[in-house]
Parts: sequence; structure tokens; C-alpha cells
Amino acid sequence: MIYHWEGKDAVAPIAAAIHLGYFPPSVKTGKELAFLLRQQLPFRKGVGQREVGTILQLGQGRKGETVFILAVGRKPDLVLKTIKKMLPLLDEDPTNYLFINCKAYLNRNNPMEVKARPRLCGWYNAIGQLVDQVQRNL
Amino acid sequence: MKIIYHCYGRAHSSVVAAQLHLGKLPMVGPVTKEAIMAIPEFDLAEAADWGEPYLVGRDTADNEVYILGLNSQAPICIRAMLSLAGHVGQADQILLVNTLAAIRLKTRIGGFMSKKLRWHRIGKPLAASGIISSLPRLRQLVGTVQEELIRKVQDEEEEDHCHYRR
Repeated sequence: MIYHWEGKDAVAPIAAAIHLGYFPPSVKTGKELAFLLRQQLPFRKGVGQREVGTILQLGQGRKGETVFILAVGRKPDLVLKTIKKMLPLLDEDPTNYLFINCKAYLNRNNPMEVKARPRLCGWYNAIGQLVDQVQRNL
Repeated sequence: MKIIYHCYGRAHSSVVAAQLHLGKLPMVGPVTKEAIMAIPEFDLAEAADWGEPYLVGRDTADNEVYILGLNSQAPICIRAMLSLAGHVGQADQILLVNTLAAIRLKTRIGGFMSKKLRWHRIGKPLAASGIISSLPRLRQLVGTVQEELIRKVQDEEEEDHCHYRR
């Protein structure tokens, strides 16, 4: 389970935190969200340029799935292709790996709502919805 | 063990390094431009092939030798490959070798002309000529890789021997 994102914000780290159960799948108030964001979540402020490309393991989900995050930078296609093509070389079954494009999901599902109603924490809840979909399909 | 020679486009320096490694090009003595241009994979790969390791052959120690083009994304892709290999417990089974550092401007210009501008008839011979000039550095690089592989095998044998004695 690899949540990938550009690397500059906290989208994938939050998705991983929700997936693993550190964070709840949704929040109702800005105060609740602010409390969560103060929790010293690893990579809460994104990753540095030198960490882009490193697959970071954050934990293991309830069904035994390993949860990773991956900052792919601005041009994700080649990085993701390289990883996918490397898997058979490393005797790994590519079908056991799920790549989740956090940014694409957020852009597709919630862009206007996030901008129009920031106090309702639409951005965080959209990540929660993404994780919910992922977990249902496991 | 898998040895992956990588460069920008998987068309020139990594191809020649792999041929040297596999003994299809000599590690000493002169090599002609025609011999370089006759290598099947030379100046062949396109942008669609980037990111996909291509198996060129197996060396005498049965190591698989691959070539790979990583465009300008090499540092990010290498970090991704190494971390992935680490996570699946295979970090000691791959060796990534950057061949781009061994070539000079002539090969780069030839490659640019052939691959980007599509001037194959000028670009390919120019790239081959650049490779000839860079051959000592490429040979040195491949020689270092081969020494490293021998050392690794010796280390493993020594470790096995220690386990046996215990």
C-alpha cells in the first residue's frame, strides 16, 4: 500500500496515519483538526528534496498490509514506472502493491469544497474518504 | 545478483558498459566505431523505454546484467529502487551503476542529435565516436564493478565458512 504525493505537504502522511488508525477518518471542527495537526505526525510538513523518491514505511494495517508513503516530486510517472518494473526483478508480485495517487484523488473529488469551506475541514475529510475507499477494496 | 547499468536514455553509455561487462566488447585494445554502432541496443531505446530495466545477458558468474534509462530523474528513481529493494530484503542483490559520469560532451551531443532531434545519421556515429573516446573510463568503471562482485562473493564465502565452523 503506497500512498504517493508530490512531497511538499502532508497529504500522504495524513492518509497513512488515517489508514493505520493514528488519526480518525473525519473531523467535524477546525479545533479538532488543529489538535491532530499538532501531534508531531512524521513528515507532517512534507519531505526534503533529498528524501523525494525514498519509500518510507509507516506501519502495518489491520489486515496485515504494509503502509508506505512515497514522495514522487513533480514528475511522478517515471518514478512510479521504475518502481513497478523493478518489482519482478526483486521477486515481488506487482499485484500485491497498490499505488494510491493522493493528489489526483483530492483534485478529482474535492477541490471546490476545500476552497469554499475550509472551516469544515473538507480537505482532511476528503483524505479520510480516500482511505476509506482504499480499505474497503482490500 | 542483478547489475543495472543506468544512464539518461539507455541508448549509449549503459549499453556499452553492459557489453564490456558481458565480454562482448574487449576490456583492452582498440575498438572501432563500427563495432560500437553494430551493437543491437546501441542508439535504439526511446523515451517509452525509460524506467524499464532491460536484460542484456548473464555474465560468467551468472549475474544478470541490465540497462536502464532514467532521464533526468536518476537520483529520485535510484532512491526509490534502493529503498524498495531494502524493504523487500533484496538490497544486497542489486547493484546500480551510473554510466553517465564516464562519458563526455561528444556522446551527449550525438545522443541529443539522434534521439531528440531525430538526426540519426549524424547523431549515431557522433555518439559512437564519443564512446570510443570515453572507453578507458567506461572500462575502468566496469572493471571496478567486476572487482566489487568478486569481493562480494569472497565475503559471502567467508561468512558461510564462519557459520560452518561455528
